[in-house]
Amino acid sequence: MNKMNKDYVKTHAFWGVLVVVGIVGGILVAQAYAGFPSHAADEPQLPPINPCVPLEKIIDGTIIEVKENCVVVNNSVRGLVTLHISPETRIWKGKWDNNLPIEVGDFFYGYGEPNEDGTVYEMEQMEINIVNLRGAVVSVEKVSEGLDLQLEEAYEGKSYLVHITSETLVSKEEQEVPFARTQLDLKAGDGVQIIGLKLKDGSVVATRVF
Amino acid sequence: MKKKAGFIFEAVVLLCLSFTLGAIFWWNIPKAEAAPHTVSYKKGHATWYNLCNGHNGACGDCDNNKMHAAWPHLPQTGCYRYCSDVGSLSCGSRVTVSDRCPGRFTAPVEIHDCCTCNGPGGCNGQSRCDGSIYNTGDVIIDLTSYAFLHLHGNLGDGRIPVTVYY
Repeated sequence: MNKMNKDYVKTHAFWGVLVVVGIVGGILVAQAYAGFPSHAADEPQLPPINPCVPLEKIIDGTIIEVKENCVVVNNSVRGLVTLHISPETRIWKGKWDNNLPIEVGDFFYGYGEPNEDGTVYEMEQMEINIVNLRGAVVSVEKVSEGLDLQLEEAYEGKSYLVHITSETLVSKEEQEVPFARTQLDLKAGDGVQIIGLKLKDGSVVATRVF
Repeated sequence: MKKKAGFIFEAVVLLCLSFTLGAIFWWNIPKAEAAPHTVSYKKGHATWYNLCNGHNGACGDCDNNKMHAAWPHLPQTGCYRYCSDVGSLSCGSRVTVSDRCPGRFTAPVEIHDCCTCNGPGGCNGQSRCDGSIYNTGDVIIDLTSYAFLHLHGNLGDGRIPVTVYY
């Protein structure tokens, strides 16, 4: 190859490389620009999973034996489980820490620290005989302690006797007021939600009326 | 010197032209339609219930001991029990529930039942956070007691403000 040919090849190779570099650069820059989110702020963002209580700590069941500082319960998944109850365990039975005794036949929902095989729990919190009813008022009767309602629960259509007592908290314009200090104008057909304590006879003492 | 400057000028012009050519080429390549990235959501209230035994509910397999929930719009089961319009889901749909009380906990649940959300006491009620009234709204999802405890930490509030992503 003579010198003239060599110069010709070198010059054209230079321009060729320059064109290729330019095209590739253009593609990369366009690709990067297109990848930037332009309206991500307008779209609802799925929040990260962050539960309040880990699943492995949750336990529920029915009390079948009461011992000193512990109870034995029947759980539908784990079978018999022993729950250790300490002075630090928060217990709701109609209200928080009202020292009502835990009795055989009570049901509960709660959580605590399980041992390795999940047969013993150091309980942190228990809510005992708590029910959540949503339904229509069938009848209302005034009694000495407050009101007795017949409530037809919305899911099953099952009827419940609900006692509204002087301590029942009633929602009144963005605040809750004990029934003793307010009026509750309930009549047949009204829809209500009630959080309450289920008694042994199947009736419910309302702690809150929504 | 003049010859060198002319060479550099020509090189820069060619580089710019080829750069532009590359960019135009990329923009004109037909691209596959991107999957939609949007998430639907609905704000409202969540309550809890414990009527599932593993073989019942509108979908036939609702379980109190799982992260199951009832949704008010499940056309495959004939369920249209919402106060105001919510998205239509099917049995087994996974949704993410975000508690709007302080702490803002979030948990995934699966839909396995029909919520009678528009029944008595469901629409236009008051939610609570740690015993204090939070806001007025409609129930849009009913969680099993297990799921409610996992998300909120207590059952006593009974009705909490949530955002459901689906």
